[in-house]
Amino acid sequence: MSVESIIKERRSIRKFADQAVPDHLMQELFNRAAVSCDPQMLQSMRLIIALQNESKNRLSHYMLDSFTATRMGKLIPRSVKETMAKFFSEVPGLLVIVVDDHDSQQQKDMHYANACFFLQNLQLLAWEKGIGMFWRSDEMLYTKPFFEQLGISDRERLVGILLFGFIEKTPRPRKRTPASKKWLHWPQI
Amino acid sequence: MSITSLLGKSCRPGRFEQKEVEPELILKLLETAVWAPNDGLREPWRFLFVEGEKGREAMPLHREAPAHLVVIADAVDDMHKQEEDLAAVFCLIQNMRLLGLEQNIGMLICMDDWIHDSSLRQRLGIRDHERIAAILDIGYAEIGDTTKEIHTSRLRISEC
Repeated sequence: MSVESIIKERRSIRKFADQAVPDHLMQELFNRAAVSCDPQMLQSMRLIIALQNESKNRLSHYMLDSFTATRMGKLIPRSVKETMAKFFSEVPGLLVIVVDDHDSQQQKDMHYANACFFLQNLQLLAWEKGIGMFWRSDEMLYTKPFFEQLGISDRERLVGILLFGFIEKTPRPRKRTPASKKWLHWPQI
Repeated sequence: MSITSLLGKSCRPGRFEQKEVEPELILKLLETAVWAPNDGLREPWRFLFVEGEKGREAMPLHREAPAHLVVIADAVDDMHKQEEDLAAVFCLIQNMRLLGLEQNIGMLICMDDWIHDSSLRQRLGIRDHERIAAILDIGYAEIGDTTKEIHTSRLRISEC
């Protein structure tokens, strides 16, 4: 598959097949996604993976506690929150991405950028293997209890949580604005 | 080219060939790159193409390159959304780098502090609620295989 078609065909996946994703496959994808990354920058990133049932249960309960801690979360009935936690615990895999966040503003921006470069590589490589991903960055995950439970320090920044698994259903593409509509020459002629 | 082989390639920094980079080609790559994941399909980006000749005038502090692409991200008041938008723009930039490598085009990313200077913003016409995410220096370059250092041991992974 050409890189062009992978970029265009990749979708965020919400429906995963009921099939385990082997740990060695994920490790291989991580390593391949990292090849083009700045080795020093990789040092500023860490990944927390949940593939085992026990880990997934733990992480989804952390997420549930996080939702509960937010103002909006307090308004959501318990049963709905439990359904959400169940959903997260039943996803084939979850990946938490954290970067250092304690240097100069420029360094912080670059750490964040490099984590995004890595994650985009990862999403493209996974797609080629039939693995879909869904990058969550819900505001309800950015709470003190969640960071504490996961051991994310105040010198770190949560980039997001990727849900992943073999693709059950690929959503249809939604129309995008052509780049030509968002493009200018400088100086304007 | 497959994504795996592209990921193993890189351009040698600072060594662009003196060959013009056609804006049409960069725009063509962007048409693919905009398929980056972005929250709520906000498509929080826009682009300024600066020819190499105009580089000095546009960005006096910056090194020269056959072409520059100023990648601009939305910067809404909601800080959380602003971060999400920035992530989307960085994914788009990674798409551009991969697509460029396939054309023997190297792209170097500049995120120095001065890209946020108000004089630069004014000169380039950056609006309120926008920020420059990065400036890409673009040029044809010798694309080689990355020395296969063992980055793998450098990845920090733990089980939850």
